Amino acid sequence: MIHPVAFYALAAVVILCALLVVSVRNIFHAGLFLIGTFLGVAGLYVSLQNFFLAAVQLLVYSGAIAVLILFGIMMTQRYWSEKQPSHNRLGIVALPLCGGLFWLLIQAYSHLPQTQIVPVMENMIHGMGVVLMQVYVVPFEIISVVLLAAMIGAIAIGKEKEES
Amino acid sequence: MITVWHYAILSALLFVIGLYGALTRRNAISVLMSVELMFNAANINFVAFSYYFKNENVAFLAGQVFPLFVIAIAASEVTVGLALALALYRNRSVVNLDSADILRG
Amino acid sequence: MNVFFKFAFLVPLLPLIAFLLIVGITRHVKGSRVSAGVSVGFNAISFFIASGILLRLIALLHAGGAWHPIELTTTWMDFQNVANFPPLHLEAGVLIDPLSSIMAFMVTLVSTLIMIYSIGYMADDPGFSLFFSYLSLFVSAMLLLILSNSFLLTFIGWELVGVCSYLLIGFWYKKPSAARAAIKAFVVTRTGDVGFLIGIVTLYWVAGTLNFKELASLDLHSLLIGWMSWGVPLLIFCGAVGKSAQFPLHIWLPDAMEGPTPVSALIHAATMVAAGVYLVARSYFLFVQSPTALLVVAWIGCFTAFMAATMAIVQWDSKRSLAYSTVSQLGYMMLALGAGPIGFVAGIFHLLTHAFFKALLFLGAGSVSHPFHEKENPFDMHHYGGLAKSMPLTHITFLVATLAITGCPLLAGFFSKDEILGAAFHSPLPTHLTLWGVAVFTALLTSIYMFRMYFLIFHGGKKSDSHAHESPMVMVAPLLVLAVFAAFGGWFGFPGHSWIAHFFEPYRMAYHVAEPAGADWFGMSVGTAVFLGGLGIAWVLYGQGMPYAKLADHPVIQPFRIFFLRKWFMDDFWNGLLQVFAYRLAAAASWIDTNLIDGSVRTVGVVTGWVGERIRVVQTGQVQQYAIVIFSAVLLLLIYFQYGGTRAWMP
Repeated sequence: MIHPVAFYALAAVVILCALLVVSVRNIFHAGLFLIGTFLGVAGLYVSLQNFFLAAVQLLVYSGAIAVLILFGIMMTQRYWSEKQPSHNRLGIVALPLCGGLFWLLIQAYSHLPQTQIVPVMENMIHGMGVVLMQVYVVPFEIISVVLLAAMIGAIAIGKEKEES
Repeated sequence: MITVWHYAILSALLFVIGLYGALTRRNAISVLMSVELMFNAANINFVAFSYYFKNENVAFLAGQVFPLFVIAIAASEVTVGLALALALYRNRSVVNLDSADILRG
Repeated sequence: MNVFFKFAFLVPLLPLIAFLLIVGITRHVKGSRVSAGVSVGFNAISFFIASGILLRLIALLHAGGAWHPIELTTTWMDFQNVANFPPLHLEAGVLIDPLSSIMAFMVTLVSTLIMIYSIGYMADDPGFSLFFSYLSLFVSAMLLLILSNSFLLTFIGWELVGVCSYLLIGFWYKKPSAARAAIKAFVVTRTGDVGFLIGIVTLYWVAGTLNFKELASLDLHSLLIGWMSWGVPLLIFCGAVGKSAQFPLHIWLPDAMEGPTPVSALIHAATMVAAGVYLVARSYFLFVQSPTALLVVAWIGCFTAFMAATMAIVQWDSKRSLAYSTVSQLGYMMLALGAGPIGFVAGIFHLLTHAFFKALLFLGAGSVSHPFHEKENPFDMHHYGGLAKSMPLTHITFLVATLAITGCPLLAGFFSKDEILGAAFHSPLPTHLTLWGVAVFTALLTSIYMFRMYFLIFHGGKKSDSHAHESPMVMVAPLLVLAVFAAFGGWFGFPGHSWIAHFFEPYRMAYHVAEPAGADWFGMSVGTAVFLGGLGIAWVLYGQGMPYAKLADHPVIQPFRIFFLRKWFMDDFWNGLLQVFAYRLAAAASWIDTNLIDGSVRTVGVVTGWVGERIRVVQTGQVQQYAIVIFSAVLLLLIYFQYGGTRAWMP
């Protein structure tokens, strides 16, 4: 069980960084705040006793994906422009939409039992390992194929046109 | 005490923030980042519910394993998305989604 | 059964075979006159058989004793034993009796002569073979009409001759006036045929049969009750009004002169227009039981005769004048038939004689026009004048025909026309004296306009055209043969020893007519006086040039002249009628079609396009806008699941 203060701190980090990701003008800063979000989420995984997933989150998300995004930013920005608007004009529609969606989700969750729930298991790692290798072994293998396909696709799309 | 509710609301909020960013940001890569936020929100949801509830209809610990796959998929998605952004950048020298409207009716 | 009677069905069949042969084979044989040979040959064989039939029939009648019309039939369609069909039994056959045999004889003779004439007349025409094929088809249809034994076959022949008339009037179809005239003829006769058909159907409905022999033996007084007593004969008379160009459906005959002259001679003088008179004679058993019907027929005939004669006087086109003359003479025949059974023989007799001299007149007019054929209207009598010396044979035959039609004593028309006048005078009809008076006056007019034509063509000063010449022998020979019949044909009806009245004895007895009296001196003197009076007036006005030509512009004469020239405004009347009923209706229908029907289809297209343009706005191409739409839908779905009760998310 996690201490409430820890939870609220981690939650604050996640939400704050997320808000900054979607609002700052400078994209590079947004990328950095994204990393912050990932770190917060990893912490939340730890609070949920799934240390393996936390490690994977740190390694893959903040270690690879975020870096990849930062590479992408750097390769596609000609100048760090402050004059161009960073948001389009759909905010007027998107804000109520998102607010409504959030509110509805809350309503949906309100059906959950309000009393204290006892967690199912502590230290998931052992269980996760067993399940991954026995029950979910097929998706596990297929994931590698998907990754291969993604690699090929990315290369195909991102290739320079050959001057022939 | 921290209940499943806290995690659920947190994930909902994160998801909605990510959605707002995906709909509103002009830069393609910003949209990509917002999509990552949405993925993370879903992952938190999975793990939290799996941690707090035992369900006979679902395989054991499904909610713990699923985020792994989601992360892997997200990785491939970012890869391809960035390749697209690069291609877009090469053709137009900017990666604004506003200008990518050739399919306009 | 005599061999001629057994092969009677060949009479209409042989020209039909000729038609098929020409259309199929000989039309493609280039540069030869084979088609004409086929046509004339088959027609001549038909004539031979028809004459054989006539002679045998005469012999039979001479032998005396009870006599019945001879009928040969074959079953055409028999549905009496077929399930789910009405018990229909149709027979086709020929009926041989005095009326049909003598008509067949006349038709085959005149048509053969006209075909021979056409070899010369149509020699330079590119449609030579086609012309003969049409002629053969026509003759076949006419003979079918004459020899048929039931109303059904008669109607078939009736319609077929109408089609042939259309084809032949519009033979030079590239000429717009000819095409229009052909359509006018067809449409106007069809208008009459509607009545005819209704009459036939009513008759079948009431009597159950259309066979002439069977119908004649029925008790028609009890079958044709109420309006049908005069309705059925008058409906059948409608067809005759159309076909024989009686008032008010006479308007097509003058326009029909657009066709080649042999066509005018054959169809619109001798045969097809006579079909109406023949029909009335054939269905006479229907007419005699209704005095009302007879009165109507007589009056229409008389009025038509008078009206057409007035119009003939002012014509300068030789064929037009002859056309009106034909209408007038047909009116005489109808008058005769309408006068009652005493006029029956007179009417048929006049039909036969008229065929000969009218055909002769038309062929003569064609012969006269031959040297002028490169002019715009070769029949315009303004070109003619003083042609007596340059065309001697044509001149003589034309003179004979003119004398015949005007009732010159001892020639054909004298006997037949005076019989008609006599029938009118002695008729039991209520207004018979008025009829007689108008008929006599019309005879005077006939004499005037015929001699006017004769003098204008053959007398007067010589015009500048010196290249008028006699026609080739192939054209003149038929003229001579016809002239003989025109001159001496009347002797068959010599009063007191009338061979033809004797020939029609069975009818006389059937209709209870008294024995014909001896020579009718009063009638003959009236006829002669009228003939001489007309000759005199015409001589004065037209004989030596035209000394009184200025008279035509006299203010008293002028309105009459215009009235007659404008055909008593009948064309305008019919045109106006059509305008109101047919054209306006057609215009309205066309408007509906273009604006409402086509409009609705167009509107669908326009609306689709308009809606498409409006909806197009949604497709901006912007991904984020699409995403908003998607998530809005998700929102709505969530609302539904949340508040739609348990049935929304619980199966």
